[in-house]
Amino acid sequence: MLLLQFNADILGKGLLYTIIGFSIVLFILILITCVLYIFSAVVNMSVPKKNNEQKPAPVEPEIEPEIKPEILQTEPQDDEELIAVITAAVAASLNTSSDKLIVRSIRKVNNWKRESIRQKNSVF
Amino acid sequence: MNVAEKISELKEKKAREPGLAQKRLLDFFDEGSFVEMGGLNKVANVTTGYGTVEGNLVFAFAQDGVVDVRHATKIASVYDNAIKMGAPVVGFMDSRGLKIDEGADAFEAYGILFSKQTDASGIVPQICVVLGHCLGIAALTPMLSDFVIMSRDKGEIFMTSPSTFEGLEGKSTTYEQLGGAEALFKKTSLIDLEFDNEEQAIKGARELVTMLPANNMEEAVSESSDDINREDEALNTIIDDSEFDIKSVICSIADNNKFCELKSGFATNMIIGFVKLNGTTTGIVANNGKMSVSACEKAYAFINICDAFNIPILSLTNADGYEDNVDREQRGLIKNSARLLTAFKNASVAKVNVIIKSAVGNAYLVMNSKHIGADVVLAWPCAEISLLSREASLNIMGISAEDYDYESSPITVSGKGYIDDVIIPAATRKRVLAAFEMLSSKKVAPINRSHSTIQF
Repeated sequence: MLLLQFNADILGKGLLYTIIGFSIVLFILILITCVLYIFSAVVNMSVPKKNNEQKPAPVEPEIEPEIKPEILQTEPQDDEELIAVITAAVAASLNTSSDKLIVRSIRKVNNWKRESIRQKNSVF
Repeated sequence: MNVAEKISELKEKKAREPGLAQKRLLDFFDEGSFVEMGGLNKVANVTTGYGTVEGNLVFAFAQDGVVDVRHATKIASVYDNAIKMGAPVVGFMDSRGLKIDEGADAFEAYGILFSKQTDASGIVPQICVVLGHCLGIAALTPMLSDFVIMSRDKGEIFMTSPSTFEGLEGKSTTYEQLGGAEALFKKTSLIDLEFDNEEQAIKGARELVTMLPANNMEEAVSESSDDINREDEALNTIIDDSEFDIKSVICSIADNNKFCELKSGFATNMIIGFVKLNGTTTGIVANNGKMSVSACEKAYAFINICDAFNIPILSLTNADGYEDNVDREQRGLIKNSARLLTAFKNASVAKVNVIIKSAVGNAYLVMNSKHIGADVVLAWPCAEISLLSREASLNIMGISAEDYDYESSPITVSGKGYIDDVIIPAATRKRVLAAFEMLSSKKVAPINRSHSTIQF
């Protein structure tokens, strides 16, 4: 009889602890959700704010020149590389390529070359 | 005469039909770009000026009558401008020559002209288009130019009249046989391009001038529309073809398969000319048979021009030794061979050699080999590099076929470091382009000397 009562006590406590544990975890999860929600709300609010405020010229021109030349330079290179890659892939799939080398046009080293021509043509 | 009358008088003068010389210059330059200089100086019998060819500045003169001091001075001013501006000079030759009653003044006239040509040599490219008579002393003008173009219908170049031969030595020959375009094109190395008529010759001059840099400080580089990784499977089997033609290999390597061949009528065992490789004008020197006196002569003069105008050189070696006989030996085979070797060695431009098949003896050594300073040497797997021909090695020296094949194989030779890579023929274009791309910034320290004494 005593043994039975003892077991029932332990079971009750176990259940209690389980419920408390689950509820803490659930509470923390809800808390995290809320925190994340608040974060996103703050970020969303801050972005339109910048646009709405219409901070004048100083900011925008600073960003633009940094980005634009990069785009201008990379585009043709990307195209060239893309063409080279596609050509290589097509050749590989057709099993026609006999040489794995992909030749790239090397950027000319102008000053070095100019000096060479100058030296060649100068009277010592 | 008031201002209005003066203006209308000038308009009337300018509205006159252009003469033959002016017409030639108008045809030569881009439409509407010709600017005549000294147009009202009619007594000089020569039209001079400048204009553009495919957008590049070019100076030109066209003869229109007899040569005297005024004529020469007017042409000299064209040269002065061309040297100042660093632009090519194109001359259209059509003159009966000097006035016999000029006396010593005639020497002064030609002295002025030839001095200017000599000064400009190696500074700006000079192209001489012979559309009519170019006789006696005047015949030196094309010889002092870098390139000579001739029209077959009327062009004539000779020093001594055939009538003189007949009178003095009892020989008889015609003008055509002596100095006609066809005779000179086939029998001598004097003429670079020959055309049926004047119109084609003028067009040829336009094409040639666009291949050249403006002066000795520039390089001839333009945009290329061809794929730099293009391969040509046909090259893998071409060598077995009984009618193997080195020109098809050259065309396969070139941008848009376009090859501007020079001196194609003379010494056909050596092929020279210009191609574009990734947009850069490159000089081609290719064997098309055994080496000979004429082949060497044709090649070294061309290499000399390429080096002066910063044009890289691509050589294709396929020479099974020399054409050897007493006559050729005595015509200076060894001297001309030495000149060819010197030309390759002294050229400081980028030099790439591709050994196609036969590379035997001295012919291999002097054809831009690694041993005399080629920057990159590639070989097809069928190449044979040996001191003696296969027959001589096997029959005279008694070498076994196996030993010969091993020793002459490009793989054995590249193992010794004399060949940079053995390539698959189909990939020749891209391998050659990869080499030239790498060499595009080549710099060589010049040797301090007046000039080499091995003269061309």
